[in-house]
Amino acid sequence: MNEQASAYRARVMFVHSVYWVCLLLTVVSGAVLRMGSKIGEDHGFLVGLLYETITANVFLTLPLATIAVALCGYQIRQFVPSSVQKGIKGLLDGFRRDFSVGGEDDLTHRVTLFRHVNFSWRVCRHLKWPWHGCLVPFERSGEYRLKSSTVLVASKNNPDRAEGFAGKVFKKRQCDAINNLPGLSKDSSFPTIERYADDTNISADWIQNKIKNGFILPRSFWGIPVEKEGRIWGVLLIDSRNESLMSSKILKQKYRPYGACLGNLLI
Amino acid sequence: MKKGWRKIEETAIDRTSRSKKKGVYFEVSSSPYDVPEEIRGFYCENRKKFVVEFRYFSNEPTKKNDGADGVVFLCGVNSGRLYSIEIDVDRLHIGEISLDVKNDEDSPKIRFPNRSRRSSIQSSQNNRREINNRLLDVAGEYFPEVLNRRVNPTAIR
Repeated sequence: MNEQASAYRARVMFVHSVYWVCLLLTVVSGAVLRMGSKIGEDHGFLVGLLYETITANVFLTLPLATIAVALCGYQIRQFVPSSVQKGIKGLLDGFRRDFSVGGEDDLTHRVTLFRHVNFSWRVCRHLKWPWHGCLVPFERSGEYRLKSSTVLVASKNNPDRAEGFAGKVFKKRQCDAINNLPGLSKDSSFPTIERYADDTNISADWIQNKIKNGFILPRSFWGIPVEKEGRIWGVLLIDSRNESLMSSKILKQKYRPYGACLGNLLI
Repeated sequence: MKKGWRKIEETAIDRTSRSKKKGVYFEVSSSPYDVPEEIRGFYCENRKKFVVEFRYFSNEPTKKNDGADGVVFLCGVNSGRLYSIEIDVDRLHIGEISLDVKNDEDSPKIRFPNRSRRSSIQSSQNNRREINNRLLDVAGEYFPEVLNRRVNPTAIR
């Protein structure tokens, strides 16, 4: 958790720094352009040098800095205070404890909260289109670090292109469960992998890649759309290595108190 | 704050569909955000209306939607969820208030937020409309004297 929190803080600080530097650059470039030839040698060597440097590249730096300010400003609005993040993690942990049968470790069941965002840098990295709607992991239960580059396309404009089980839940806006999926290993046949991919709404290549990297894929899923004041915010997903989870009815009952608290914490 | 909340059987609203394909079990059911936990009905002296309210575990601002004569629905601004039904029993002299929702033509006109024609929103609105209609059925079962039958208005008070 600490490692994750510090990585998050570092990211927040980095984006804030870029935002302020670019904003300063935009303002200075704009001011220099406006003043134009009024700045001369009589303002001193340093001012003159600054003027020369800025005017030489102003048609490149000004638009780039403006775009960077807009993007960083958007990203800053997406950040959640660490105390809120901690509270959300506590709720996910509580929910996981509530539905786990005693003796099961953190890895058996994982509860992940996905957030729906209009734009994510990760989408660019995966070269996925459309860029206006995807689900990104926001928080996960357990003591393990959520360092995931997973991004699932979940566009509001084109819901049929939703990816993954979380995308399926987002698309349907209903509670969805799958149990008794085949256990996959490096020896699994391609038809089995394809069937798993088809059931979980993900590509077979992605699954093959995960198997190759030693991931143990879940055998059951349960997902629910998470709302904030009547609007969909994201998706809460349970993935389990067990063949089956509790019945959907019981899980929904257990989720209600956590969902009510979550609604107050989400931004 | 008026009391008198009564638990709603989730099965009355939630329709779960189960299927099995090559040994894999699938289950789809309503989101708990859509299914109210409790219901209550009371005659409001100030407004001179009979009010049926639904309580969900998550709240949102509501707006009024005029339904049939003398019936007002309070729906969620963002979700279109049915939060309350207000029936003007005095104005109508309770001839008969029927919220028969067996088919779409007969159903009370609940207007849903018309945000866009996007297919995902359309399908979620259809789903919501279906749930809202089930809620009216449930309200009819809980308060048959007001919602389904001829009643004497003084008896409600």
